[in-house]
Amino acid sequence: MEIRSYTLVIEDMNENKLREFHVRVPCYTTAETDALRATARSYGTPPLCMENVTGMGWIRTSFGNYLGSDCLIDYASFAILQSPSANLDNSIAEQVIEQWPIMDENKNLYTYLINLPTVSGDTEDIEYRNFIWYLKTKPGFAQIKCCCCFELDKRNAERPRVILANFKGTLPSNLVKTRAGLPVFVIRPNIVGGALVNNFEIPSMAGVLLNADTQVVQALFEVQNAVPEGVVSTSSYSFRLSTQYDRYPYYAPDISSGDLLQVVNMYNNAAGASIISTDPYAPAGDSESGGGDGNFDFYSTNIPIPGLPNIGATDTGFISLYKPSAAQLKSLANYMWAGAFDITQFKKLFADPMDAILGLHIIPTTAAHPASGSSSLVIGNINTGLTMPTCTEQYYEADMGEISVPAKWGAYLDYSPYTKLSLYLPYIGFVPLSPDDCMRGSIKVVYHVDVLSGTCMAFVYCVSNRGQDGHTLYMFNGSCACDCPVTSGQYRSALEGLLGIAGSIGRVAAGDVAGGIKDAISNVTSMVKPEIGRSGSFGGSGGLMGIQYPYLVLTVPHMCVPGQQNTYVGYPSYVTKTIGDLSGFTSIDVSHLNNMTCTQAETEEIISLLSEGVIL
Amino acid sequence: MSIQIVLQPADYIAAVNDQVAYAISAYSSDETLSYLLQRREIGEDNWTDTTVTTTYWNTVATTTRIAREYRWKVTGSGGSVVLSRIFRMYNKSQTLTLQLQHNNSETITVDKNIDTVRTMPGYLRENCSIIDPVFMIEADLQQVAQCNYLTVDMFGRSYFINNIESVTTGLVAVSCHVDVLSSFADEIRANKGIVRRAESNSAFNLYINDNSLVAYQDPYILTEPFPNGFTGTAFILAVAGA
Repeated sequence: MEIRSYTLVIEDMNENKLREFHVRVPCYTTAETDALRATARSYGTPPLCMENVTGMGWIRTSFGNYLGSDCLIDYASFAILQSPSANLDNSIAEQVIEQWPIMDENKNLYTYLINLPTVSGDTEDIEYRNFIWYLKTKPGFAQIKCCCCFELDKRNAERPRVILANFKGTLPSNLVKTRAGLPVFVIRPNIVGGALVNNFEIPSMAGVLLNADTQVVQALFEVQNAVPEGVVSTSSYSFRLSTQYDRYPYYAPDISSGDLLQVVNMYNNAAGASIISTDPYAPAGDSESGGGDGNFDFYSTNIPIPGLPNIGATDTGFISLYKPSAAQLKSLANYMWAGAFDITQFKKLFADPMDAILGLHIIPTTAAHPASGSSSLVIGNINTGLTMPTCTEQYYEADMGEISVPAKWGAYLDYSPYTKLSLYLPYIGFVPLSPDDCMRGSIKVVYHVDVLSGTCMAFVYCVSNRGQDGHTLYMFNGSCACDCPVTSGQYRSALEGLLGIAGSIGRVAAGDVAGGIKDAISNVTSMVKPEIGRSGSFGGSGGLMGIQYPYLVLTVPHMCVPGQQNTYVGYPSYVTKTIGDLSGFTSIDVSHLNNMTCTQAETEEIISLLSEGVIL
Repeated sequence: MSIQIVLQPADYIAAVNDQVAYAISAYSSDETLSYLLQRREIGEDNWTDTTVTTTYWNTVATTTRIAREYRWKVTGSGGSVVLSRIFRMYNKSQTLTLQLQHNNSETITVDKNIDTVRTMPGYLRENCSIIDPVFMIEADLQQVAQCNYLTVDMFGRSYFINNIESVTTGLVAVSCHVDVLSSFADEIRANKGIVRRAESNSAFNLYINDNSLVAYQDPYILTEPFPNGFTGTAFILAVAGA
């Protein structure tokens, strides 16, 4: 057996006060530490001292002594009794001595004993018993002690263990100080020989400082009756727990003692019982802290405007696209209806010569697109001998350019929902945009046009103000072809199609477009009106009559700002600053002030004034 | 005819061992008057008769007497009784230098624009706090009336004057409340906090929502055209065959 002793010298204790000392002693595994024994010696009355303690990690315990006027504690010693082990580090990493002069000169100590129900069981398995009690108290300092009586009918001299744990550290909610935290005590009853009755006391389980008008204290102890490995036991036991509630004047003059008003309830729950029986939400468990685990990487990948399709109907050889002038179309009409047209040969392929005319429509163009070449017009397999420009590209891109979206107010007012943006797109209509996407940035619009079907797709590319690449955030499609009927059937179809055009204008927008589509119906049917609704959609011949370039419409709030608003009420800040660095009207949230020489009432008034606003 | 008190006794600010005198003068046309000085401890209800039965009381201030209140009881031969005003001797033991001032700034201003009107000695009345003190000043009311602020260097505090009360001729009671902002300005400035609203450009951020602002109902409608557009039209003829 190796004994290592540690001594704490405690000086200046010659006062008629109760003193308690808290000492932290490192412990390791029970296999390595046979026991940790701490004793305190004093001149005079033997102290309440720590019982045998073992366990893992840090154990905080306490001992104390009530001294007479002529007593003097000059030192306390701590000894670790152990078997030699190379792995055991016996250094006391931390010694904490806290003096608690908690007794007044009259030595008032009020004690309430609360007997909790007795539990019984056998010792074959580890069992847990939860003792829960609720105490209603006055505010003030109090200390709760626990006294255990462990009656064991066990012939084996091995030791069972009783662990009193989990003094509920979360209560009361405004607990300002607890002296013992979460103590774990392992009690070895003094078993000698046969049937035994062992009583032992655990002093100073916890002390709490209660600071509300009334407090309900709840505590939980887990009672573990454990049999060491290799020991077979079938004995029975009973365990009785009593609680002692002490209150006495606290050393701080403005803190009174906490009288015990009422023992509200007591429970002796079976294993695994819920701690809080009065809270219906208790089964869901206590709330958890969390958050703050984001990666804070706000870079996003650029989504560019796509390229044009690289495949088209003209690639099949069944269709040819021409971009004739009006005069060339007249020549074609003359050819089709003149005697030169060999209808006999044509009817080998088509029932009607007009079947070979797949479509004729008008589309918008730019200076460069659609590109064209020149060749003879061939209808079916008939070379008409007419020369007209051919469309060399079924799809073309029309870049409408880019505009910046500067902030008008330079404030939150420039963003939604205060500022509203809508974008007029030719052949599509007005579409809503979120100012959050482009404010203090820019918007670029690019059209892709299919000259065969007349379908157009407008890409809206937004660049925000955060210095990153932009993104294609909106896509809208519409029809930019104005059909020119060349047969009576096509004419009827064109009219019918006009009425149903809204259904053909699908939009692929990131935002809510349902309302826009409904509005499109009403606007298309009233397209003859000179005013085009800002929320409408249109295409075809209606689009031809519309404005041929996009434009942005901003609805910016017209603010009513009183003069010197910042002087009287300031503007939002939410930065942390040293107060001395500020000037003018300022309101500040200061939860605590440091290094103040004023009284507590004055400090609270300062905090209140700073919160309401002061002029610095 | 009833008894009339012609001269009421006045208060004194007295230090221990100061000589003070309290006199009373009463008149009745048909009764012979007798006088009795009564006293009580401050805070008590009941009065105790003294042995002083003259119309004046010359005495030396003591600690005990400073803690008492007094009054004259005037009794007529016909049995009518009249009581004088309650008077007392205020403690002169701790003389303070009071800077009587005029505050030209808002109360929430930390660095106030202060004009010092005059500096006078004063005394702290018993049973009052350093936060809401009452100062007794030997002065006429008009000497103090134009002041709304005072500073007591000994306390390290400045005070708002909440009320000025004339106790008796030549003695005023000035009720105050501490100006915590000015008194502890340097300590306040050394602290940090989260600024909610600020006047200073260096602190506010207008991109944070501000519920204190309101808007007119007629917003600005602004348009901005894109630089390019469709510039023309073309016929597109689609035919079968290649």
